[in-house]
Amino acid sequence: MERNDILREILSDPEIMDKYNINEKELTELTTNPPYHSNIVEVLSTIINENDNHLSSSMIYKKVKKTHNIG
Amino acid sequence: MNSQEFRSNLLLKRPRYAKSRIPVLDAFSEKGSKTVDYSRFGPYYEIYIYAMMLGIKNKKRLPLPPRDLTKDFIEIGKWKRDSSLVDFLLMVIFTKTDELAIDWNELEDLEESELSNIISKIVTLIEEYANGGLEYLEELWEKGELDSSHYMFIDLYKDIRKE
Amino acid sequence: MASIINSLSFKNFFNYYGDYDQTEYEFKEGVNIIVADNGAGKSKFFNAFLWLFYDDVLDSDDKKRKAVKDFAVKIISDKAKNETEIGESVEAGIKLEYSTGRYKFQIVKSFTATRIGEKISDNESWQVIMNDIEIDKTDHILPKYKPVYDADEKHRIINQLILPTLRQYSFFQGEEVDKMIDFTKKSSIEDAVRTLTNISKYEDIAKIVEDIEARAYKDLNKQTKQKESHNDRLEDALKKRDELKTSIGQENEKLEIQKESYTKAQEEYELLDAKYANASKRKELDEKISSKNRTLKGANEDYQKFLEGINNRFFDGNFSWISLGFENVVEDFKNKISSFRAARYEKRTLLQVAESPNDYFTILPSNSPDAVTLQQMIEKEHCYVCGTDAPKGSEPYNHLLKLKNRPNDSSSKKEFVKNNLEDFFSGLQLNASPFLNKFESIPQSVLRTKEKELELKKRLDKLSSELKALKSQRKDLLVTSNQDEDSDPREVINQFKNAIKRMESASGRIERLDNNLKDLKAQLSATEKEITSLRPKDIPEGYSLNYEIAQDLVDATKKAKERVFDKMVSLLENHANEHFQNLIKYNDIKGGVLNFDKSPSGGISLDYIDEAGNEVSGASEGFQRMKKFAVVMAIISANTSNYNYPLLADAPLSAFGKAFNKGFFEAIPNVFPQSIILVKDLYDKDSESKLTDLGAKLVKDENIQTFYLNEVDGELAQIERTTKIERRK
Repeated sequence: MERNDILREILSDPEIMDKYNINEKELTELTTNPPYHSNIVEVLSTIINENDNHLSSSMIYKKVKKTHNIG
Repeated sequence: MNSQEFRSNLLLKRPRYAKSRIPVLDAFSEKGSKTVDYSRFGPYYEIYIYAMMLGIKNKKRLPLPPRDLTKDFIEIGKWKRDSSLVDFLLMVIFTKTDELAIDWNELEDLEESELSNIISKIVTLIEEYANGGLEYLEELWEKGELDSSHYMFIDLYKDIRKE
Repeated sequence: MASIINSLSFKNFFNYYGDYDQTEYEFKEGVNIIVADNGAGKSKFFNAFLWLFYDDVLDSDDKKRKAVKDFAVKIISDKAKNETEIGESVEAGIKLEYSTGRYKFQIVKSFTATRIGEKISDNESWQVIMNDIEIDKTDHILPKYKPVYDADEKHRIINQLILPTLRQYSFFQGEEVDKMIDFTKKSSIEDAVRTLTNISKYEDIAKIVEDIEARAYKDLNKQTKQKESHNDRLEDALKKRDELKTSIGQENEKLEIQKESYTKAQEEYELLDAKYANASKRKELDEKISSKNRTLKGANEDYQKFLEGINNRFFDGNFSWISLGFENVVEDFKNKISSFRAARYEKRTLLQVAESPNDYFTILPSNSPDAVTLQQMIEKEHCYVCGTDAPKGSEPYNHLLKLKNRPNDSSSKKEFVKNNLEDFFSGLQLNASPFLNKFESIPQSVLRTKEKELELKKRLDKLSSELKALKSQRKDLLVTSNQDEDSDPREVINQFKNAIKRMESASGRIERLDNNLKDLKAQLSATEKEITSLRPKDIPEGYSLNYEIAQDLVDATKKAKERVFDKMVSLLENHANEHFQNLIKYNDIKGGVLNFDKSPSGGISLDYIDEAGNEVSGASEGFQRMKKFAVVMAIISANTSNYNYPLLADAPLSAFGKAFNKGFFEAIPNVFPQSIILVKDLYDKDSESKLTDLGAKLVKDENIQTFYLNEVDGELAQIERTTKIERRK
């Protein structure tokens, strides 16, 4: 599915994988649906999904903040 | 008269040609017509010499018409001036002792006026052979039997064997 | 399941006069060719598809697209208009049939015009009503057309003919074929990549993430300000960060300007490249032609001079052709001069004896020896005349001496002849010698003359045909350049070099700006780190994490987008090369590959490089077009392994050149299951078949499925001029 492809492509960056402890196998299995591997995956998935739902970026931001438990 | 004078007198002579031969002279010399149907010689004297030699080969000697129907042209001495062409021609001519009815040794004893006569006879011989040759060419030309190649003249020349 | 156009017919559509069945083209799968000279229905053919897809047609006068309903009156065939009385109506339209694997469709688009006025060419004289689109559908098993009523389905059926997103690569129109993929526009390959990938999604996400980053930063700062351990150093760092961000923004703007500049220069470069190639090739050929002309002239002069000089060989002592046949003159003359001398000698001797008899006591026989023989006799001490020896000191010997030493004729006081002609005759013999020794060699000389003539003629002919070939090459160049054939080659070359210079300087500035930006970004990163360390430790982690993740995502998304882009460009490059090699299969161009290179402006430039990696530039215009075709085909084939839609194209075959044509017609079917190619270059009104040699060849080619020839009778009046369709295959 396209959303998953985009997710994996963006996170395939070696620095990201290193910093957020994503290994090769985990990368291939990432999806934009829960459960999420880590924070960053959840944030990006939110962005990708809600972009497809045509949410504005301010609304997407609100959702992102929720994932961090901030106001 | 000594050799020098004899030679000069001879070379000063201007041979004549029949005016009726002008077309054929023009047709085959560059001095003549501008159109190039056939191979050509340069000045008049070249075709004249060729015709003369052709006449000699063919043993064709044709007297000229009356003088007022003839024209003269460049003097013999000026035929290819710096070359030995004329010497050769004179050799050919002077060997015709029978035709000219001369004897070289007798020449040496002739009076000046008689020698001038001989010179005239020689010029006449030249003129008549040339005339004969020109007539031959003219016939071929009119009958359309002339070849239009660049080698027409030499081909014609070598076909006629001098006996 | 490819869609294949089965037929296209016209009713009173521009030059196509008559009903649908009178102006019909049937097409098959594979390559179909329509030959049409200018004005014989080529662009009108395209208009049918413009109407079909866009409800537009192209106005050939101003080259602009016009809505069919606004342009209707001009669309109706003049002849049909003329035949319509006031109060009567005439219909104009197009009918297209196409099949997919399962169904066959018939589409009719038309309008009805009623004449209400006098002037048939005025819009006001006609009342136009657009008819509903009629679409009928049948399956192949039980062919019976059933009408389609649903508007959405109608729409879908029309769009199904050629996939809309790829339509621009499958449907090339008229004189614009050169711009079908305009590499002078930075955007063109980018657009292609956009069509072929989901890169726009990455761009959306990048925007969102940037926005989120900004917001996260703001929120983090808000939190920071609320804490008491807020300090000056942090304040400064934050300020510095803002300044840096502003500087970066400014540098980015400058960078954009330079990239723009570069792009413009590159566009010009691309445009001029072909012209330059042409111009410098033209210049080169011009120089070769004038040099060859000079040589030819010289050779001709030599030849003419030679011909004129042939007859000179009669009178020239080196050849002496005049002496041919006069061999016996030599002998004859020698004999005569011999006897002449003998007689003279006798005469003189007699005279001298008579004058001074005591000096002579012998009379030598008539064949008296000349000085040479005398000398010989003296040396040999033998008298040939008497036949006796004459040893030195003997009497015969002394006779000989006396004879030898006898006084010269010239010194004798009295001439023994009136006319001394000895010198005359001996002079002739001596001088004439060049003419006396060539008799044998004359035939050979004639032969050699003929040989020399042939040699000169051969040289002349060779130079002549070389000149012809050069001129023909130059003519080909003229044909391939579409405008400005007469533009000064030097001017073109200057403009070209100028464009390159501008590209270089822009590229230099871009590099410097990039370096500046790198610097600034490094500083920014350092400042960010400082800020992070200076921030109060008691801010809820969520805010820092929020910001940090946002930052990381901004970078990662940007990089991901580039990767996707590069991957697609690489794929296009591979496909393009494959197609390109097929297209140039029959050309002399050896080796070399197409290379998609990222330019400093971020655009893609298409280069042709050789094995050593050097750019091969300056190739012909046909070659340039082939590059474009290869890319177009790559865009199609990279999209899907099987492209299932037809190609409708106007192919300028003369721009391609002969060798390309073969490759072109072989390569096209590999990508497009059906192609309909319109050409004018195969038309030759003076030939019997009305086709050029290439045209005649293509008709017979087994790869070509159908072949039509459009003709317009130019002799008829405008009103009567209609397009006649003639099917040749």
